[in-house]
Amino acid sequence: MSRLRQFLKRAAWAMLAIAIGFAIWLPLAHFVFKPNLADYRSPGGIPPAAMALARHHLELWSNPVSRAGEVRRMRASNAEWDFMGRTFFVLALANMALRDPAIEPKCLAAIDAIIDETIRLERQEGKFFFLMDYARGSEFAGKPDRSLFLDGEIAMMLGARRMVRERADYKPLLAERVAAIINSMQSGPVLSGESYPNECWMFCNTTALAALRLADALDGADHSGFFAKWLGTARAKLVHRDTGLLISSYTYDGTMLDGPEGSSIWWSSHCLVLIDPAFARDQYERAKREISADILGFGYAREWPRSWQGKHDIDSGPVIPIVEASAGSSGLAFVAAGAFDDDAYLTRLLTTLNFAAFPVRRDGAVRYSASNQVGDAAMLYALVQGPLWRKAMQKGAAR
Amino acid sequence: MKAKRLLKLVVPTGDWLSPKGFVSRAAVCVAALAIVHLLGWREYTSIISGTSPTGEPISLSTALPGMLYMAAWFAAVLVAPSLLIAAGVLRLARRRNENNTRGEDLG
Repeated sequence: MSRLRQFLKRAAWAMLAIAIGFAIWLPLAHFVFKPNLADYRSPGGIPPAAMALARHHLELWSNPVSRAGEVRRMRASNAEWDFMGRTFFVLALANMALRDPAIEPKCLAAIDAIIDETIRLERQEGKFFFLMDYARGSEFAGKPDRSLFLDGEIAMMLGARRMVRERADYKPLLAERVAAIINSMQSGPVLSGESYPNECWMFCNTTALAALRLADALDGADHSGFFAKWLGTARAKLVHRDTGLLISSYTYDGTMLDGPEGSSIWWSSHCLVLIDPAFARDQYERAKREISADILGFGYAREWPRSWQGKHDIDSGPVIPIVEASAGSSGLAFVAAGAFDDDAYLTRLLTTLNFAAFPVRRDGAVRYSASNQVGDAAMLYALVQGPLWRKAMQKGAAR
Repeated sequence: MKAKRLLKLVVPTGDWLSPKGFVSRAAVCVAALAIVHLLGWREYTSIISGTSPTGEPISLSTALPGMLYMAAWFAAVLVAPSLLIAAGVLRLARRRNENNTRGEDLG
Protein backbone atom coordinates (compact mmCIF):
# COMPACT_ATOMS: atom_id res chain seq x y z
CA MET A 1 0.00 0.00 0.00
CA SER A 2 1.42 3.40 -0.93
CA ARG A 3 2.27 5.82 1.89
CA LEU A 4 -0.38 8.24 0.66
CA ARG A 5 -3.06 5.58 0.74
CA GLN A 6 -1.97 4.52 4.18
CA PHE A 7 -2.11 8.12 5.39
CA LEU A 8 -5.56 8.66 3.88
CA LYS A 9 -6.82 5.50 5.52
CA ARG A 10 -5.48 6.64 8.90
CA ALA A 11 -6.99 10.10 8.39
CA ALA A 12 -10.37 8.64 7.49
CA TRP A 13 -10.37 6.49 10.65
CA ALA A 14 -9.30 9.48 12.73
CA MET A 15 -12.07 11.69 11.31
CA LEU A 16 -14.62 8.96 11.90
CA ALA A 17 -13.43 8.61 15.50
CA ILE A 18 -13.67 12.38 16.00
CA ALA A 19 -17.17 12.41 14.54
CA ILE A 20 -18.16 9.61 16.93
CA GLY A 21 -16.54 11.52 19.80
CA PHE A 22 -18.60 14.64 19.08
CA ALA A 23 -21.75 12.62 18.46
CA ILE A 24 -21.39 11.02 21.88
CA TRP A 25 -20.23 14.05 23.88
CA LEU A 26 -22.27 16.98 22.57
CA PRO A 27 -25.69 15.55 23.48
CA LEU A 28 -24.32 14.67 26.94
CA ALA A 29 -22.48 17.95 27.68
CA HIS A 30 -25.54 19.72 29.06
CA PHE A 31 -25.75 17.22 31.93
CA VAL A 32 -22.46 18.61 33.27
CA PHE A 33 -24.00 22.09 33.55
CA LYS A 34 -27.59 21.14 34.38
CA PRO A 35 -28.47 22.67 37.75
CA ASN A 36 -30.43 21.25 40.62
CA LEU A 37 -33.47 23.50 40.25
CA ALA A 38 -34.09 23.51 44.00
CA ASP A 39 -30.85 25.49 44.44
CA TYR A 40 -32.27 28.24 42.24
CA ARG A 41 -35.97 28.25 42.88
CA SER A 42 -38.13 27.50 45.86
CA PRO A 43 -41.72 28.31 46.78
CA GLY A 44 -40.69 29.67 50.20
CA GLY A 45 -37.46 31.01 51.64
CA ILE A 46 -34.57 32.13 49.51
CA PRO A 47 -32.86 29.55 47.31
CA PRO A 48 -29.08 29.29 47.90
CA ALA A 49 -28.11 30.41 44.38
CA ALA A 50 -30.26 33.53 44.75
CA MET A 51 -28.70 34.27 48.12
CA ALA A 52 -25.22 34.03 46.59
CA LEU A 53 -26.22 36.46 43.83
CA ALA A 54 -27.80 38.81 46.37
CA ARG A 55 -24.59 38.78 48.44
CA HIS A 56 -22.66 40.08 45.46
CA HIS A 57 -25.15 42.91 44.91
CA LEU A 58 -25.30 43.88 48.56
CA GLU A 59 -21.51 43.95 48.55
CA LEU A 60 -21.59 46.24 45.51
CA TRP A 61 -24.03 48.62 47.20
CA SER A 62 -21.98 48.73 50.38
CA ASN A 63 -18.66 49.29 48.62
CA PRO A 64 -18.64 52.61 46.74
CA VAL A 65 -15.39 51.80 44.92
CA SER A 66 -16.53 48.52 43.38
CA ARG A 67 -19.95 49.97 42.62
CA ALA A 68 -18.43 52.96 40.86
CA GLY A 69 -16.36 50.57 38.74
CA GLU A 70 -19.39 48.47 37.85
CA VAL A 71 -21.52 51.51 37.06
CA ARG A 72 -18.73 52.94 34.88
CA ARG A 73 -18.53 49.67 32.90
CA MET A 74 -22.27 49.70 32.27
CA ARG A 75 -22.58 53.39 31.51
CA ALA A 76 -19.80 53.08 28.93
CA SER A 77 -22.30 51.01 26.94
CA ASN A 78 -25.69 52.22 28.13
CA ALA A 79 -26.73 54.66 30.88
CA GLU A 80 -30.14 52.92 31.07
CA TRP A 81 -28.51 49.82 32.54
CA ASP A 82 -27.38 51.79 35.57
CA PHE A 83 -31.03 52.68 36.17
CA MET A 84 -32.60 49.33 35.34
CA GLY A 85 -30.09 47.50 37.52
CA ARG A 86 -31.49 49.48 40.43
CA THR A 87 -35.10 48.56 39.60
CA PHE A 88 -34.38 44.85 39.23
CA PHE A 89 -32.39 44.79 42.45
CA VAL A 90 -35.07 46.67 44.41
CA LEU A 91 -37.72 44.27 43.10
CA ALA A 92 -35.53 41.33 44.07
CA LEU A 93 -34.92 42.71 47.56
CA ALA A 94 -38.63 43.35 48.09
CA ASN A 95 -39.39 39.74 47.18
CA MET A 96 -36.59 38.49 49.39
CA ALA A 97 -37.93 40.51 52.32
CA LEU A 98 -41.39 39.03 51.77
CA ARG A 99 -39.91 35.54 51.54
CA ASP A 100 -37.81 35.81 54.68
CA PRO A 101 -38.88 38.36 57.32
CA ALA A 102 -35.58 37.85 59.17
CA ILE A 103 -33.71 39.71 56.44
CA GLU A 104 -36.37 42.38 55.94
CA PRO A 105 -34.47 45.17 57.78
CA LYS A 106 -31.33 44.57 55.70
CA CYS A 107 -33.36 44.46 52.46
CA LEU A 108 -35.29 47.62 53.31
CA ALA A 109 -32.11 49.51 54.20
CA ALA A 110 -30.66 48.62 50.78
CA ILE A 111 -33.93 49.45 48.98
CA ASP A 112 -34.16 52.86 50.65
CA ALA A 113 -30.55 53.68 49.84
CA ILE A 114 -31.12 52.80 46.18
CA ILE A 115 -34.39 54.71 45.87
CA ASP A 116 -33.04 57.81 47.60
CA GLU A 117 -29.91 57.89 45.48
CA THR A 118 -31.82 57.30 42.25
CA ILE A 119 -34.28 60.11 42.92
CA ARG A 120 -31.46 62.40 44.01
CA LEU A 121 -29.49 61.69 40.83
CA GLU A 122 -32.56 62.27 38.66
CA ARG A 123 -33.23 65.62 40.37
CA GLN A 124 -29.60 66.68 40.42
CA GLU A 125 -28.50 65.55 36.95
CA GLY A 126 -31.82 65.79 35.13
CA LYS A 127 -33.85 63.21 33.24
CA PHE A 128 -31.14 62.61 30.63
CA PHE A 129 -28.77 61.13 33.20
CA PHE A 130 -30.34 57.67 32.95
CA LEU A 131 -31.24 57.93 29.24
CA MET A 132 -29.15 57.33 26.16
CA ASP A 133 -27.72 60.42 24.50
CA TYR A 134 -30.12 60.45 21.57
CA ALA A 135 -32.90 61.49 23.99
CA ARG A 136 -31.48 65.03 23.75
CA GLY A 137 -31.96 65.13 20.00
CA SER A 138 -35.62 66.16 19.83
CA GLU A 139 -38.75 67.12 21.75
CA PHE A 140 -41.18 64.74 23.42
CA ALA A 141 -44.55 64.77 21.63
CA GLY A 142 -46.52 64.57 24.89
CA LYS A 143 -46.44 67.35 27.44
CA PRO A 144 -44.95 67.77 29.96
CA ASP A 145 -41.93 66.08 28.46
CA ARG A 146 -41.25 63.31 30.94
CA SER A 147 -39.83 59.87 30.25
CA LEU A 148 -42.17 57.02 31.15
CA PHE A 149 -39.07 54.86 31.46
CA LEU A 150 -38.05 56.86 34.54
CA ASP A 151 -41.51 57.47 36.02
CA GLY A 152 -42.61 53.84 35.59
CA GLU A 153 -39.57 52.24 37.16
CA ILE A 154 -39.27 54.75 40.00
CA ALA A 155 -42.96 54.19 40.76
CA MET A 156 -42.31 50.46 40.66
CA MET A 157 -39.45 50.78 43.15
CA LEU A 158 -41.49 52.98 45.51
CA GLY A 159 -44.50 50.66 45.26
CA ALA A 160 -42.41 47.54 45.89
CA ARG A 161 -40.86 49.12 48.97
CA ARG A 162 -44.20 50.12 50.39
CA MET A 163 -45.67 46.68 49.70
CA VAL A 164 -43.06 45.23 52.04
CA ARG A 165 -43.50 47.85 54.72
CA GLU A 166 -45.15 51.27 54.62
CA ARG A 167 -42.94 54.32 54.60
CA ALA A 168 -45.00 57.47 54.92
CA ASP A 169 -42.65 59.82 53.11
CA TYR A 170 -42.67 57.58 50.03
CA LYS A 171 -46.47 57.82 49.70
CA PRO A 172 -46.51 61.33 48.14
CA LEU A 173 -43.52 60.41 45.95
CA LEU A 174 -45.45 57.45 44.58
CA ALA A 175 -48.59 59.55 44.11
CA GLU A 176 -46.57 62.09 42.11
CA ARG A 177 -45.21 59.36 39.79
CA VAL A 178 -48.65 57.76 39.41
CA ALA A 179 -50.07 61.13 38.33
CA ALA A 180 -47.25 61.57 35.83
CA ILE A 181 -47.77 58.05 34.43
CA ILE A 182 -51.52 58.50 34.05
CA ASN A 183 -51.09 61.90 32.44
CA SER A 184 -48.49 60.61 30.03
CA MET A 185 -50.35 57.43 29.03
CA GLN A 186 -53.91 58.74 28.97
CA SER A 187 -53.10 61.69 26.77
CA GLY A 188 -51.34 59.53 24.17
CA PRO A 189 -53.26 58.49 21.01
CA VAL A 190 -52.62 54.80 21.80
CA LEU A 191 -52.68 55.22 25.59
CA SER A 192 -48.91 54.93 25.76
CA GLY A 193 -46.31 57.28 27.15
CA GLU A 194 -42.97 58.07 25.57
CA SER A 195 -39.68 56.85 27.00
CA TYR A 196 -37.72 58.84 24.42
CA PRO A 197 -38.94 61.63 22.17
CA ASN A 198 -41.65 60.14 19.93
CA GLU A 199 -40.68 56.63 21.05
CA CYS A 200 -43.00 54.54 23.17
CA TRP A 201 -41.57 51.26 24.48
CA MET A 202 -43.76 48.32 25.42
CA PHE A 203 -41.28 47.43 28.15
CA CYS A 204 -41.78 50.81 29.84
CA ASN A 205 -45.54 51.00 29.30
CA THR A 206 -46.17 47.57 30.80
CA THR A 207 -43.82 48.40 33.68
CA ALA A 208 -45.85 51.56 34.28
CA LEU A 209 -49.09 49.54 34.24
CA ALA A 210 -47.69 47.13 36.83
CA ALA A 211 -46.55 50.09 38.95
CA LEU A 212 -50.08 51.53 38.77
CA ARG A 213 -51.41 48.19 39.94
CA LEU A 214 -49.06 48.22 42.93
CA ALA A 215 -50.16 51.78 43.73
CA ASP A 216 -53.83 50.74 43.50
CA ALA A 217 -53.22 47.90 45.94
CA LEU A 218 -51.45 50.27 48.32
CA ASP A 219 -53.57 53.39 48.20
CA GLY A 220 -56.99 52.13 47.24
CA ALA A 221 -57.28 53.81 43.85
CA ASP A 222 -58.78 51.82 40.97
CA HIS A 223 -57.32 52.07 37.50
CA SER A 224 -59.04 48.93 36.23
CA GLY A 225 -61.04 50.98 33.70
CA PHE A 226 -57.83 52.39 32.27
CA PHE A 227 -56.24 48.93 32.20
CA ALA A 228 -59.18 47.59 30.19
CA LYS A 229 -58.96 50.49 27.73
CA TRP A 230 -55.19 50.05 27.40
CA LEU A 231 -55.56 46.32 26.73
CA GLY A 232 -58.22 46.98 24.09
CA THR A 233 -55.99 49.50 22.34
CA ALA A 234 -52.95 47.24 22.57
CA ARG A 235 -54.84 44.27 21.11
CA ALA A 236 -56.14 46.41 18.26
CA LYS A 237 -53.10 48.50 17.42
CA LEU A 238 -49.94 47.26 19.13
CA VAL A 239 -49.87 43.59 18.21
CA HIS A 240 -47.66 42.18 15.46
CA ARG A 241 -49.91 40.56 12.87
CA ASP A 242 -47.82 37.45 12.09
CA THR A 243 -46.96 36.43 15.62
CA GLY A 244 -49.71 37.93 17.77
CA LEU A 245 -46.96 39.33 20.01
CA LEU A 246 -46.93 42.87 21.36
CA ILE A 247 -44.54 45.04 19.39
CA SER A 248 -41.62 46.49 21.28
CA SER A 249 -41.52 50.14 20.19
CA TYR A 250 -43.76 52.58 18.37
CA THR A 251 -44.22 56.27 17.79
CA TYR A 252 -46.48 58.40 19.97
CA ASP A 253 -49.34 57.87 17.50
CA GLY A 254 -48.84 54.08 17.47
CA THR A 255 -46.84 53.51 14.27
CA MET A 256 -44.61 50.48 14.73
CA LEU A 257 -40.88 51.16 15.02
CA ASP A 258 -39.73 47.72 16.15
CA GLY A 259 -41.74 44.52 16.00
CA PRO A 260 -41.66 41.95 18.78
CA GLU A 261 -38.32 41.66 20.59
CA GLY A 262 -37.20 39.24 23.26
CA SER A 263 -35.66 42.03 25.33
CA SER A 264 -39.15 43.50 25.62
CA ILE A 265 -41.80 40.79 25.43
CA TRP A 266 -40.51 38.53 28.21
CA TRP A 267 -40.61 41.38 30.72
CA SER A 268 -43.88 42.76 29.40
CA SER A 269 -45.65 39.42 29.74
CA HIS A 270 -44.42 39.25 33.34
CA CYS A 271 -45.76 42.76 34.12
CA LEU A 272 -49.07 42.04 32.42
CA VAL A 273 -49.71 39.23 34.91
CA LEU A 274 -50.91 42.03 37.24
CA ILE A 275 -53.20 43.47 34.59
CA ASP A 276 -54.68 40.51 32.71
CA PRO A 277 -53.20 37.11 33.63
CA ALA A 278 -54.78 35.29 30.68
CA PHE A 279 -53.46 37.79 28.13
CA ALA A 280 -50.07 37.71 29.85
CA ARG A 281 -49.87 33.92 29.61
CA ASP A 282 -50.95 34.01 25.98
CA GLN A 283 -48.10 36.46 25.26
CA TYR A 284 -45.65 34.23 27.13
CA GLU A 285 -46.72 31.12 25.22
CA ARG A 286 -46.42 32.95 21.91
CA ALA A 287 -43.02 34.34 22.86
CA LYS A 288 -41.86 30.90 23.82
CA ARG A 289 -43.01 29.51 20.50
CA GLU A 290 -41.47 32.32 18.49
CA ILE A 291 -38.36 33.34 20.40
CA SER A 292 -37.15 30.59 22.73
CA ALA A 293 -34.61 28.12 21.43
CA ASP A 294 -32.81 25.01 22.53
CA ILE A 295 -29.71 23.29 21.26
CA LEU A 296 -28.74 19.94 22.76
CA GLY A 297 -30.31 20.78 26.13
CA PHE A 298 -28.96 24.34 26.30
CA GLY A 299 -31.84 26.81 26.37
CA TYR A 300 -31.64 30.42 25.28
CA ALA A 301 -33.73 33.11 23.62
CA ARG A 302 -33.39 34.90 20.33
CA GLU A 303 -34.07 38.62 20.10
CA TRP A 304 -36.47 38.42 17.16
CA PRO A 305 -39.06 35.92 15.97
CA ARG A 306 -38.39 34.23 12.63
CA SER A 307 -41.12 36.22 10.94
CA TRP A 308 -39.65 39.59 11.84
CA GLN A 309 -36.00 40.56 11.79
CA GLY A 310 -35.26 43.76 13.64
CA LYS A 311 -32.26 45.97 13.61
CA HIS A 312 -29.64 45.33 16.21
CA ASP A 313 -29.73 47.73 19.17
CA ILE A 314 -28.01 48.07 22.52
CA ASP A 315 -30.86 46.32 24.38
CA SER A 316 -30.33 43.12 22.46
CA GLY A 317 -26.65 42.93 23.33
CA PRO A 318 -24.50 41.31 20.69
CA VAL A 319 -26.47 38.60 18.91
CA ILE A 320 -24.42 35.43 18.42
CA PRO A 321 -24.54 34.55 14.71
CA ILE A 322 -26.08 31.30 13.40
CA VAL A 323 -27.76 30.36 16.72
CA GLU A 324 -29.02 33.98 17.07
CA ALA A 325 -28.70 33.90 20.87
CA SER A 326 -29.24 37.27 22.51
CA ALA A 327 -27.93 38.01 26.00
CA GLY A 328 -30.61 40.65 26.62
CA SER A 329 -33.47 38.44 25.54
CA SER A 330 -32.10 35.34 27.29
CA GLY A 331 -31.62 37.28 30.54
CA LEU A 332 -35.23 38.43 30.59
CA ALA A 333 -36.46 35.00 29.51
CA PHE A 334 -35.44 33.86 33.02
CA VAL A 335 -37.90 36.36 34.50
CA ALA A 336 -40.75 35.19 32.29
CA ALA A 337 -40.00 31.47 32.71
CA GLY A 338 -40.01 31.99 36.48
CA ALA A 339 -43.18 34.08 36.40
CA PHE A 340 -45.08 31.43 34.45
CA ASP A 341 -43.64 28.49 36.43
CA ASP A 342 -42.06 27.03 33.32
CA ASP A 343 -39.52 24.89 35.17
CA ALA A 344 -38.45 22.96 32.08
CA TYR A 345 -37.44 26.10 30.15
CA LEU A 346 -35.95 27.66 33.28
CA THR A 347 -33.77 24.59 33.81
CA ARG A 348 -32.51 24.74 30.21
CA LEU A 349 -31.79 28.47 30.58
CA LEU A 350 -29.91 27.84 33.82
CA THR A 351 -27.93 25.08 32.10
CA THR A 352 -26.77 27.63 29.52
CA LEU A 353 -26.08 30.15 32.25
CA ASN A 354 -23.74 27.71 33.99
CA PHE A 355 -22.15 26.79 30.67
CA ALA A 356 -21.67 30.13 28.96
CA ALA A 357 -22.07 32.99 31.45
CA PHE A 358 -18.83 32.24 33.32
CA PRO A 359 -19.82 32.39 36.99
CA VAL A 360 -17.27 33.79 39.41
CA ARG A 361 -17.68 32.56 43.00
CA ARG A 362 -15.98 34.26 45.92
CA ASP A 363 -16.73 34.26 49.66
CA GLY A 364 -20.20 32.81 49.20
CA ALA A 365 -21.12 35.41 46.56
CA VAL A 366 -21.55 34.81 42.85
CA ARG A 367 -21.64 36.98 39.77
CA TYR A 368 -21.48 36.20 36.08
CA SER A 369 -18.52 37.52 34.11
CA ALA A 370 -20.40 37.46 30.82
CA SER A 371 -23.12 39.59 32.37
CA ASN A 372 -23.14 42.89 34.22
CA GLN A 373 -24.91 44.33 37.24
CA VAL A 374 -28.23 44.79 35.43
CA GLY A 375 -28.11 41.26 34.02
CA ASP A 376 -27.22 39.73 37.38
CA ALA A 377 -29.93 41.77 39.11
CA ALA A 378 -32.53 40.60 36.58
CA MET A 379 -31.35 37.05 37.21
CA LEU A 380 -31.67 37.50 40.97
CA TYR A 381 -35.15 38.92 40.53
CA ALA A 382 -36.10 35.98 38.31
CA LEU A 383 -35.15 33.56 41.08
CA VAL A 384 -36.97 35.24 43.97
CA GLN A 385 -39.99 36.82 42.25
CA GLY A 386 -43.49 35.80 43.17
CA PRO A 387 -44.44 37.11 46.64
CA LEU A 388 -44.67 40.78 45.58
CA TRP A 389 -46.98 40.11 42.65
CA ARG A 390 -49.06 37.70 44.74
CA LYS A 391 -49.45 40.26 47.51
CA ALA A 392 -50.51 42.96 45.03
CA MET A 393 -53.09 40.63 43.50
CA GLN A 394 -54.41 39.55 46.89
CA LYS A 395 -54.70 43.17 48.07
CA GLY A 396 -56.47 44.10 44.85
CA ALA A 397 -58.85 41.13 45.12
CA ALA A 398 -59.60 41.94 48.79
CA ARG A 399 -60.75 45.41 47.73
CA MET B 1 14.22 22.63 21.93
CA LYS B 2 11.22 23.40 24.15
CA ALA B 3 9.65 25.52 21.40
CA LYS B 4 10.14 22.70 18.93
CA ARG B 5 8.40 20.28 21.30
CA LEU B 6 5.53 22.72 21.80
CA LEU B 7 5.20 23.23 18.07
CA LYS B 8 5.06 19.47 17.58
CA LEU B 9 2.23 19.30 20.08
CA VAL B 10 0.14 22.02 18.46
CA VAL B 11 0.78 21.62 14.73
CA PRO B 12 -0.91 18.58 13.17
CA THR B 13 1.58 15.90 12.16
CA GLY B 14 1.25 12.23 11.38
CA ASP B 15 1.02 11.60 15.10
CA TRP B 16 -2.09 13.78 15.25
CA LEU B 17 -4.08 10.93 13.77
CA SER B 18 -3.34 8.56 16.62
CA PRO B 19 -5.11 8.10 19.98
CA LYS B 20 -2.06 9.60 21.65
CA GLY B 21 -2.29 12.60 19.31
CA PHE B 22 -5.93 13.13 20.27
CA VAL B 23 -5.13 12.99 23.96
CA SER B 24 -2.28 15.47 23.60
CA ARG B 25 -4.53 17.91 21.65
CA ALA B 26 -7.18 17.59 24.34
CA ALA B 27 -4.47 18.46 26.86
CA VAL B 28 -3.52 21.50 24.73
CA CYS B 29 -7.16 22.71 24.88
CA VAL B 30 -7.22 22.41 28.66
CA ALA B 31 -3.79 24.04 29.00
CA ALA B 32 -4.92 26.95 26.80
CA LEU B 33 -7.91 27.50 29.09
CA ALA B 34 -5.66 27.38 32.16
CA ILE B 35 -3.40 30.04 30.62
CA VAL B 36 -6.15 32.50 29.66
CA HIS B 37 -7.82 31.90 33.02
CA LEU B 38 -4.62 32.71 34.89
CA LEU B 39 -4.25 35.82 32.77
CA GLY B 40 -7.61 36.97 34.19
CA TRP B 41 -9.33 37.06 30.83
CA ARG B 42 -12.56 35.55 32.18
CA GLU B 43 -13.51 39.12 33.19
CA TYR B 44 -13.35 40.17 29.55
CA THR B 45 -16.21 37.82 28.59
CA SER B 46 -18.59 40.64 29.55
CA ILE B 47 -18.44 41.58 25.87
CA ILE B 48 -21.11 38.89 25.33
CA SER B 49 -23.60 41.22 27.01
CA GLY B 50 -22.21 44.28 25.24
CA THR B 51 -20.59 45.48 28.47
CA SER B 52 -17.18 47.09 28.44
CA PRO B 53 -14.73 45.03 30.51
CA THR B 54 -12.70 48.11 31.40
CA GLY B 55 -15.13 51.02 31.54
CA GLU B 56 -13.77 52.38 28.26
CA PRO B 57 -15.78 51.87 25.06
CA ILE B 58 -15.37 48.32 23.70
CA SER B 59 -12.50 48.05 21.22
CA LEU B 60 -10.62 45.22 19.58
CA SER B 61 -8.03 45.22 22.36
CA THR B 62 -10.70 44.78 25.05
CA ALA B 63 -12.80 42.36 23.00
CA LEU B 64 -9.96 40.04 21.96
CA PRO B 65 -9.12 38.60 25.41
CA GLY B 66 -12.80 37.83 25.96
CA MET B 67 -13.12 36.14 22.59
CA LEU B 68 -9.97 34.09 23.18
CA TYR B 69 -11.21 33.08 26.63
CA MET B 70 -14.50 31.90 25.16
CA ALA B 71 -12.73 30.00 22.39
CA ALA B 72 -10.48 28.30 24.95
CA TRP B 73 -13.45 27.51 27.20
CA PHE B 74 -15.51 25.95 24.43
CA ALA B 75 -12.47 24.03 23.23
CA ALA B 76 -11.85 22.69 26.74
CA VAL B 77 -15.44 21.72 27.54
CA LEU B 78 -16.71 20.66 24.12
CA VAL B 79 -13.72 19.71 21.96
CA ALA B 80 -11.38 18.15 24.53
CA PRO B 81 -13.86 15.56 25.88
CA SER B 82 -14.87 14.71 22.30
CA LEU B 83 -11.20 14.14 21.43
CA LEU B 84 -10.77 11.88 24.46
CA ILE B 85 -13.75 9.80 23.39
CA ALA B 86 -12.36 9.79 19.85
CA ALA B 87 -9.03 8.54 21.21
CA GLY B 88 -10.80 5.65 22.92
CA VAL B 89 -12.80 4.83 19.80
CA LEU B 90 -9.71 4.92 17.59
CA ARG B 91 -7.76 2.76 19.99
CA LEU B 92 -10.52 0.16 20.05
CA ALA B 93 -10.80 0.23 16.26
CA ARG B 94 -7.05 -0.24 15.85
CA ARG B 95 -6.92 -3.06 18.34
CA ARG B 96 -9.75 -4.78 16.55
CA ASN B 97 -8.02 -4.26 13.22
CA GLU B 98 -4.78 -5.69 14.59
CA ASN B 99 -6.58 -8.73 15.99
CA ASN B 100 -8.28 -9.32 12.64
CA THR B 101 -4.98 -9.04 10.79
CA ARG B 102 -3.32 -11.40 13.26
CA GLY B 103 -6.26 -13.82 12.87
CA GLU B 104 -5.92 -13.74 9.09
CA ASP B 105 -2.16 -14.35 9.40
CA LEU B 106 -2.73 -17.33 11.70
CA GLY B 107 -5.46 -18.67 9.44
